[in-house]
Amino acid sequence: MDDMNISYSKRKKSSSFMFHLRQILKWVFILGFIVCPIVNYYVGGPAWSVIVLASIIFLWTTLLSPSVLEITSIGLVFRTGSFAIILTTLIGLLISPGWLGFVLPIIGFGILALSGILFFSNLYKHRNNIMPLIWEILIALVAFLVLFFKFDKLNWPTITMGSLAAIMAITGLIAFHKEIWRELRKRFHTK
Amino acid sequence: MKKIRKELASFRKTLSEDDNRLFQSYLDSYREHLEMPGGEEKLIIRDAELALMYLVKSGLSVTEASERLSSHNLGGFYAHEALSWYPLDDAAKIYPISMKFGKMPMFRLSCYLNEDVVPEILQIALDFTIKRFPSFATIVRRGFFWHYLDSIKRRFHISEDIGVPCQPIKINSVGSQSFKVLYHANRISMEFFHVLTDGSGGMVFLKSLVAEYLRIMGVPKSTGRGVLDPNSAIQHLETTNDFQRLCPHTKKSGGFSGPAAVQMGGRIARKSPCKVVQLVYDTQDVLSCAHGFGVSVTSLVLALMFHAQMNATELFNGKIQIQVPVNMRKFFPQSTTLRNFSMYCSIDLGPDEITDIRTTASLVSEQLAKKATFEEMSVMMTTARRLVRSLRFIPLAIKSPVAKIVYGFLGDSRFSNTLSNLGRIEVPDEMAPYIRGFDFVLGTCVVSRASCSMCSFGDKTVLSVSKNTKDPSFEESLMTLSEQLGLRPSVTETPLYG
Repeated sequence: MDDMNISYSKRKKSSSFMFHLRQILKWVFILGFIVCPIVNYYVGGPAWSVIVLASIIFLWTTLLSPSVLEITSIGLVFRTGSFAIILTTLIGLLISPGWLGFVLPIIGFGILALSGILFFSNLYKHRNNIMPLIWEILIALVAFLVLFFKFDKLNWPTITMGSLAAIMAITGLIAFHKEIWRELRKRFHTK
Repeated sequence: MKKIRKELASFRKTLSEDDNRLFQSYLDSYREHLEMPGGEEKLIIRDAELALMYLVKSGLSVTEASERLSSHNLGGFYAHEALSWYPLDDAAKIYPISMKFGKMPMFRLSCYLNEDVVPEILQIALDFTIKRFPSFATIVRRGFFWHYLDSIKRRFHISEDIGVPCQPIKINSVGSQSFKVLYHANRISMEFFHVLTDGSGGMVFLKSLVAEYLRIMGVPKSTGRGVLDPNSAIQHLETTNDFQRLCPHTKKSGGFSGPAAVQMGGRIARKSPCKVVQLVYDTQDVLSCAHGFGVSVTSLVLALMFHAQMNATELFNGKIQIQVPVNMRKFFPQSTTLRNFSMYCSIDLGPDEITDIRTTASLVSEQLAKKATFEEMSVMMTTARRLVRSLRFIPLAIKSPVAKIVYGFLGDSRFSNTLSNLGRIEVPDEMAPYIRGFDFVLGTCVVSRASCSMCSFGDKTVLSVSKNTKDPSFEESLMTLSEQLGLRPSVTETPLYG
């Protein structure tokens, strides 16, 4: 009766290496997540386990449960950069304070510069993927303004970060205002 | 690529000077319709060259071939900027929110032709057809409050069907496509991410693609019975969220939760589906059997599933609950949407109620008559609409983790199995002689060990079982029970994956 010729091609046996690696990593991370705070609590000293936990969360969401949507080069820079800022802040606050105000703006303008280069390197592709860049510029501008009003004198990395963010914002508003408006309407829709 | 270029160059050498001139002018007019990054343009031009070469080699003149493959069929799709976007429909909203890595709600629709598929013609048929289905030429993106479908302009490609059916599609890079077009022997399959459409919408796309393929192969052009003319104007109502547009706004509201269902035994496989089993029945036999019991085909198959599920279950700690999607288009005939427009009902039977097929079939039929009604579906539709509205100002960053937990605990474990019946597939008379049949395969769920789907075309009814476990007791029971009823299906299985 089956003259439809239902048939399926034989599939090559796929390697289960990645599956097993993911399983092992999963348990290592879970173990680390439980054990590190306990060890840190009993051994005492600076709260290094917070840094370990933050790293585990980042690695988990990057390696074991990566986003199934929208992994773009600019998005990756934004994500990795955000993690670098969080980790640096934690190290600066918990282990060796005193240098955060200098290093964080350097990371900030590094992220902005890299994202800007990526954006202009493929305008056709990234014109419709402008949101991570908008977030980066906004965060950098807000950070700059907070520091500007809080401190009398700003260091050069902060000034560079603020200027770069301002230049990118102005350029963006002039050259890509239509794209930005369209992107904001889509991203913030409630329908 | 080099091999193709060589082949094309040697083909051009075989043409006369006049034909070569015609060939070149055809390609030039093709280029006028393209405004894309270089690589994409080259691929679309190559599609045209390969298709033209195939038609000329199969005996057509260059003039005839270029008429069939006229650049007018491209329309403005490849020349316009991708500007449109679509909010997700109410049914689709849950998918990207609750989706986990390696899991994606997918389904596959296939059409079996009389002859083996010619990939060059299928590719160009897709190049021509996609413009008529703008909501499919999209990618899912994350908004602040909800996801949405953002249109993309690219060459949508076909591939050989060599993998496991209904595997997740990689949609995380910019410009990836959210559906697959596959070919194997005489079969053209389309796999859809459920966020785009449901079975009915997907079937319109598949039938239109097949119609375009057949037109290029020389079959008279045909439309109607769910086949759209790729060159006709896009209708706005085909892309609307009809849950919102046609919501009956009942006063009564319901809920989506319920008790956990009994699950079949068998360890959940690493690869899912780990196997797809297809039972091809004679439509007339199935109809006679169902009418003999005084029930519909859906009720009969559900009854078979309840019995097979009983035989495949070790532990009974509740009821067997089978999810049955309900096509809302039958209640709202004015709907022409190609997006999701289905709700579902749950048919539940305890182990003591499952005695013999006849009794089970009539119990199922009673429940279907009570639950798959306009009133019940209206309540569910209104509840879904209210839920969507109440959540609209909550950021996705909060909604998503909550939904993942809730959906993981409630959504999937609520059902033991699923039966999605697309019913009788109709095609225009001109197309029918070239088609042997259709089938419909559902992707698997997380907890339930099997998902069933069926459709019929002509004298064949195909029941597909997607397995989430190696344990074959469910499908073996289905076959035995079918034979006991005198249905004698022919059975095809995929290899065991994973």
